[in-house]
Amino acid sequence: MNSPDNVYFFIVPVLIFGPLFLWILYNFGIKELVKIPGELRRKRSREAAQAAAFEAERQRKRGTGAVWLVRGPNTSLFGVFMQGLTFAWFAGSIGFFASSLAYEYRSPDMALIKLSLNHAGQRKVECTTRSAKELAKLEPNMRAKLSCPRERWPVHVELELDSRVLFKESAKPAGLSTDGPSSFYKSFVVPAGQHQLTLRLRDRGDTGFGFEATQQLTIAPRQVIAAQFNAARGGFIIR
Amino acid sequence: MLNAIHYPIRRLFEGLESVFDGPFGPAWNPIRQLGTLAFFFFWIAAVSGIYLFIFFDTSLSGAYDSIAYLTREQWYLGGIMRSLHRYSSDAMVACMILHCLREFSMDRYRGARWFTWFTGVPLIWLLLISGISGYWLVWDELAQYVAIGSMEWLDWLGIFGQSVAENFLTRGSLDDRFFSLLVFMHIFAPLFLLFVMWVHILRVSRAKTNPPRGLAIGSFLMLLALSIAVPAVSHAPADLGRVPATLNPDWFFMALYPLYDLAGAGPLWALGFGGSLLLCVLPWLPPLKRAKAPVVFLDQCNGCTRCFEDCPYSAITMQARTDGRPFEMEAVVNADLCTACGICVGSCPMSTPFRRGAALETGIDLPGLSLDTVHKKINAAITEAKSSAGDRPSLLVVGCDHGVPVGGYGGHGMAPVSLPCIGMLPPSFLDYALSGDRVDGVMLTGCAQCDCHHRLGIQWTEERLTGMRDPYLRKRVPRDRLDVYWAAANESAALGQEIDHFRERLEQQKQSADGEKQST
Repeated sequence: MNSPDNVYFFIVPVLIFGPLFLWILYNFGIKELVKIPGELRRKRSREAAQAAAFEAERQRKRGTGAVWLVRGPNTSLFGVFMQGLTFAWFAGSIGFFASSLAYEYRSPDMALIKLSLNHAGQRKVECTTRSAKELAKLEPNMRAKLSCPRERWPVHVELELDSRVLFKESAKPAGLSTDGPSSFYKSFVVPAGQHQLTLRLRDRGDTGFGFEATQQLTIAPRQVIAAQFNAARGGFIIR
Repeated sequence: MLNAIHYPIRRLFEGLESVFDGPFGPAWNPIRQLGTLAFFFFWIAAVSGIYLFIFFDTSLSGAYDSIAYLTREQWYLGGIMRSLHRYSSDAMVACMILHCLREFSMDRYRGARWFTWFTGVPLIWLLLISGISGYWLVWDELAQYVAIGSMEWLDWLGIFGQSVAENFLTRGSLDDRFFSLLVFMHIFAPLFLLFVMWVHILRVSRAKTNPPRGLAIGSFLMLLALSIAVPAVSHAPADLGRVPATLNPDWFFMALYPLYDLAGAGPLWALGFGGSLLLCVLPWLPPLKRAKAPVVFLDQCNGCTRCFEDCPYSAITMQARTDGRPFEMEAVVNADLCTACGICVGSCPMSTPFRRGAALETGIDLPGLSLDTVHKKINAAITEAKSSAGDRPSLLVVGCDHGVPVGGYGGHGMAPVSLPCIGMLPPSFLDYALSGDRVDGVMLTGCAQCDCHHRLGIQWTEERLTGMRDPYLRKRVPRDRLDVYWAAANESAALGQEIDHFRERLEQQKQSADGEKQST
């Protein structure tokens, strides 16, 4: 009862101080801000009275004039009952489609391997050190000692599960100058159980795989295995 | 081609409207109030959402528990508020889809109405974003499924530096800051939605955004009963280390996600972009129909402002007089906003057949169907009705192009005239037909009650006939020789029945009048 999560800790102050706050807000704030000049207020009430009289006259004439077939809302007992039925049907449809129609996203005995990596391939042309002569030819603000062409190699990744290749793709480096990282994001639905997962990555043209990892995995049903890559931490990380 | 698509959907809606007219009456018919109901459900979702936000813990670890507390401990208020929040937004989606289909099938999206249609397209996206971002906040298995699916779908575009879905890769990869971003998204998306809803009705004159009180009360009670009977509950807490297996998605918002699982992101983007683009260009697809806007004749216009008051599309404005005549104002027509419904012609006090002159002139007139042409058509119809009546009462049937087609009511003492909208008929024409005994009766019909194709034609006609709106129907016109029956396009049998009854009444009147003449 004394727990601050108890609803009365919220409702009681709101009930006591809420109206007081609104009263102060209205009288010392809103009322002044939206103060309506007396003349305008009188004009509005005159117009409202005219509109009410107009509507009353309209309703009276509707009953006696030419437009006797105009039908208003059906407020008969039968009408209200049928309205209730209609609302019940609509509510039933909403309730059914909102939460009752099941969808099997994944079979419960399957698991998921997610491959997600961002890695920049090696530069296509290695950096070179500029000579003093070369540096002198450049504008003073451009005189960097190293000359590094920006273009990088695409990254090639392969994923094998139980010696079967599930994924084998190359990704171009991002950016207009193809100097950004290459990105991969792919999911594979696999049966739960024991598997051998092998991952290979090449980031330097067609010169073999620079990184390779093989791991025996016991994958539980519905488990997610994430395969990531971090060159600084030695290559592939399987979690 | 488009007309062939319109027709069956339109017939379906007309049938539904006829069915609901019985228990609800035309004024409360929910099929005719889909737009206002969508607004109403938005407000319910907004108010219940504010309450939920008071108790919601915006951290990743506390979100699920705070929702569970509302659902279980505070079920009598918080739980009901949560259910109202969910079901009202679902009802809003249902109303939006039906509203869109109905306006499409009724051909109310072209010409001057393009703006309202066009601004409705982003509303679909914004409503979906608002709802889906709300589901993320529960942070249960459904939220996990929807969040990852959404991010993977966005990643396909390749506009982010690296994969956004990586934020949901493993346990611990999602942090409170990213989760707070999702909370802000769920607040700002509905605010932006409300702003675009306002833009959506900006060009609609006298736009209705509230449903009739009775319908609003019924709808609220419906949601309340549903919230008590089937409270909204969460799935198991989200766990990024486990794949959700069986889910109970909210199909109003998440129908596209299984499609994404099936076909992938590319086809889904194609569907989303392609569908939106198609909806955007619909108003300009053939057959293009755009009648010429009315023309103001300043030599006949005294700047009385009646056309300005009556135009349902705010296509007429008043400006200072430019021709030097001793009147203050003159009417100006904005052709871009005009649908050529002719209501302005019916409202002009100069539109009277009792004026002398070779051709009938008025202050504002339609180039495609001038008042003089209407006059000639009515004269021809009167002649036809009289000549074919024999002993039976002659009847002039005046209808509109969007209600029951009146072309079939010719011969046997009847003759039809159809106008773009019944509001185009100046009351003086009824005086002309009835007071001078040119015909024995006039039958007026138009669209279904509360569903005028041109929005206000029926209302203005009723008010003119009952002497509540300028120009009035004069008192000398015998009301018992005038009948009004509003009928939807599919209600020709009911209209035929009403015409038969009216002719019987006219016949009895005629017989009793003849009897009185003989006795005197």
